[in-house]
Amino acid sequence: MHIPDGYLGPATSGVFYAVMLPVWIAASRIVKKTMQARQVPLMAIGAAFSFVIMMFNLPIPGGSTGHAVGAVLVAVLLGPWAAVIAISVALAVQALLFGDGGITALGANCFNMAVVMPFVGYYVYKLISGGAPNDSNRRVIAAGVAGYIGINAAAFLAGVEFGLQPYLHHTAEGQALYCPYGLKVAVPLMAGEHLLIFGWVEAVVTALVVKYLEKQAPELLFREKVPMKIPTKLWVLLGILVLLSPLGLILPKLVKAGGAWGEWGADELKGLAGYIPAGLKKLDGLWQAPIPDYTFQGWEGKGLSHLSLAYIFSGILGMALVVLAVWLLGKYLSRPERRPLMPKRDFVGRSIRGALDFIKESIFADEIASRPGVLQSLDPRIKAVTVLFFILLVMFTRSLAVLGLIYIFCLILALFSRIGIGFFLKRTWIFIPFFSLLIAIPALFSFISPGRPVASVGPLMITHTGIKAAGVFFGRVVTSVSLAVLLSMTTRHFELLKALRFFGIPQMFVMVLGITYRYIYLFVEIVENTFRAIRSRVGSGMHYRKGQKVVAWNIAHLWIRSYALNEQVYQAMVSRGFRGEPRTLDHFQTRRRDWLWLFGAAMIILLLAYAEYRTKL
Amino acid sequence: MTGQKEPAPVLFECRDVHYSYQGRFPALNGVGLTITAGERVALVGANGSGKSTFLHLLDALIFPQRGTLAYIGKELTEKSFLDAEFSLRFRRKIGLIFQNPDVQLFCPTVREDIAFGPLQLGMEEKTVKARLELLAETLQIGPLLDRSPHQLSLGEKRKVAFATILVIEPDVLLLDEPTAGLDPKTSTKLIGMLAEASHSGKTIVTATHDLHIIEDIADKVYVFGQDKKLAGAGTPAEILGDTALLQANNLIHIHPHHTRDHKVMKA
Repeated sequence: MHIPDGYLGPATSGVFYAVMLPVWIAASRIVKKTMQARQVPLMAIGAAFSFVIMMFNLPIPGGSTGHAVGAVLVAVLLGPWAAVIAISVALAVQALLFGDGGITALGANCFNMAVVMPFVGYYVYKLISGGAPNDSNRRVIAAGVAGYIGINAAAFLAGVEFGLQPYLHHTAEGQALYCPYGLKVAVPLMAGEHLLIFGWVEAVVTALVVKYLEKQAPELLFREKVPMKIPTKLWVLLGILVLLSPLGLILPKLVKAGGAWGEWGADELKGLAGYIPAGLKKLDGLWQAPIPDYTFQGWEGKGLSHLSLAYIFSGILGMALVVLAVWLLGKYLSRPERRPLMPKRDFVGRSIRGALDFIKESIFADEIASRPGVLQSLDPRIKAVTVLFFILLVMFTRSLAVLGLIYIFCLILALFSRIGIGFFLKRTWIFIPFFSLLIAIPALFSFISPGRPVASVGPLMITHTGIKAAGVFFGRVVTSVSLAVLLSMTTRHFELLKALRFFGIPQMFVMVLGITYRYIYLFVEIVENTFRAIRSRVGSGMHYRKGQKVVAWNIAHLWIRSYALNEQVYQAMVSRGFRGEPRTLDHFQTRRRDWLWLFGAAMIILLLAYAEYRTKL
Repeated sequence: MTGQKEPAPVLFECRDVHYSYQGRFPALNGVGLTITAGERVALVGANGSGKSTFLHLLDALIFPQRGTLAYIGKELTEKSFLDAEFSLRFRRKIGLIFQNPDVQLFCPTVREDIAFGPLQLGMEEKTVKARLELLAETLQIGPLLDRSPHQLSLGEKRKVAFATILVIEPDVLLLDEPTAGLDPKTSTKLIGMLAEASHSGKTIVTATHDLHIIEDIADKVYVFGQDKKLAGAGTPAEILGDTALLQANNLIHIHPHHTRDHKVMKA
């Protein structure tokens, strides 16, 4: 459910960042008030715990494995407000350092998984468990239901976010610019797979872990009253945002009339006044669409009569392609010459492998970051800023040519940073882009992208707009993933985290990120050792029910250890003079080459933007 | 005590200190002892005899639930640490090295970890950097500075943990099982560092159940019993000679190899 860069348009991404800002401020104030100085280690270790939950593979019926997001569990353990921070930090580390989830999509991902999921889950848990005693089955069931509903709420939202994209962002010819599927495809797809598969995994993990903790360490579950006293100023800010957010959604709609972004001329501006009510009207229909009867007005009003059938068809096709993608990927990853052959049902082996891969990868990343290359020699702050601007250009451009040029630039940079091109391609094409390529295929055809036919595959017509839509979507994803990977590969991770100070992120969060990063490794080692111990005692051939219990018990145990660790780390910090407001060392130094690079990058970005504007590439 | 120095001022004075975790698990049942400035003290006892808890009390991370603990005449209470000024002065003077270096080293890099203490204690960044360089040289941890603690061996972790405290230049070093899990060579090196610190006049309190090292690190030994009270006190020679006391407190076991072990230690 981690949305990558390139799926959501800039307006949507921006709106979610804008929404998250006051939420983060409110959450950190509330947590600070209730935890005082303890919040720093608690948030960090909570975040490391959230990060690691996903490494616990759970055996599921049918002999496969899955993992939980764990956000509802974290909310039950830490309370929903602390969960907001802990999960956001975990998501930020995943996006920045491990390429899991986009950087521009971080706001949306946090909203889905760090706000909606924990809050919905937490209140469902409270509602069902009521005042039931600690060891009652009612609490266990409540946790399971909460996990199921929580993840499905988040998935539904992600589906809506995807589904809004073709409506919000498309060219005059109806060519989608971001995620090419409307609500009728995206929502059932996201909701479907979570209702059918991932929701159950989440439910099992949440229920069993809560069960063990209620029994073994009930004092470690969050019992306080959830503070809801948000400062008035924040409410006002939140209110303004709520009022403004539809405007943010309409804006790209108004702009869409022209070709390239920022290109609207005087007459279009003149038309703006008359346009707004029309835009609002469309939006009005949109809000009712997903829920009652799916009578969503097609985004351009073209070929409406065929659309329903086409949507269903493309939904099935999409699902089939996703399954195919996962299957192919699984095949590729478990090729015997690359890894020891492992039975699919071996969740123990998978968890060990996950942990080992993580550690191996990090050692490798560290090695690349210390090679003498162009990007490695730059100041991390300046590098982060320029990469961010390149990603923004990638997000805004509509031109396949611009995307192609930036992508070539990425490859050149990789070459000069002593990253083998083969390795770089493998690293940046695997998973997200590969997956996106398959997702883009249905968008080629006329039922998704009506327009001038170019070729036909059996009864299906490939259209000109379809090729452009699929191409731009895929190009955007692969280019932004490449940029993010370049940044995280050529920068030592701790430096990248510290560079965030430059973006105005408070010292406390930078400290929390650092501690999170530190303890992720400790936890990953614990995961690895735990599963080795399981293997040495019981092997991996166990019934999935037993396996689920083993995994849940180990997550519960990890939390018990995390909690103890948190107390000790807090003491270790206090012992060295920590009183709640951390100070960290700043040792960045900019040199002339940094400024040269900044200038060069700025020129390239401006040139590309200008070229697109002039030539309408 | 060896008695070669003039009477030093009393640093810590504890009387009948009690502490229990969550009100249920007693850790200390009335401990009283005095530590003077410049003294080298070893706290020995089996696992769970309350040594770590006692060190945490001395570092004012927890406070006695009964009895009193005073530092240079001032009683240490939760309230006294609300005073930022006092807290700062105390933390600058006392440094605790935790038993588990994974607890002690919480920053993403060794460099940041060493800088953490002095920065929180209000030291200038320039001074911090200068001290860091000097310390890295003397402890020979220069190549480790930009590594992450999880990449270090246990010996390296202990060395770095030591550096995170030495950089504060405290007067009192509290060490919790500093040699646990270390090979003999690394262990000897660490003891050498402690001897150096002691020469410069620092007070050193070490909790350990490694009887081999106490002659090297202490002038005075306190034995913590299973009843979580002091079971005995004396010079290292006195305590090591008292086989009955050591046996009663699970510090040695009756086993043929032990006598041999003991001889090696004496030699």
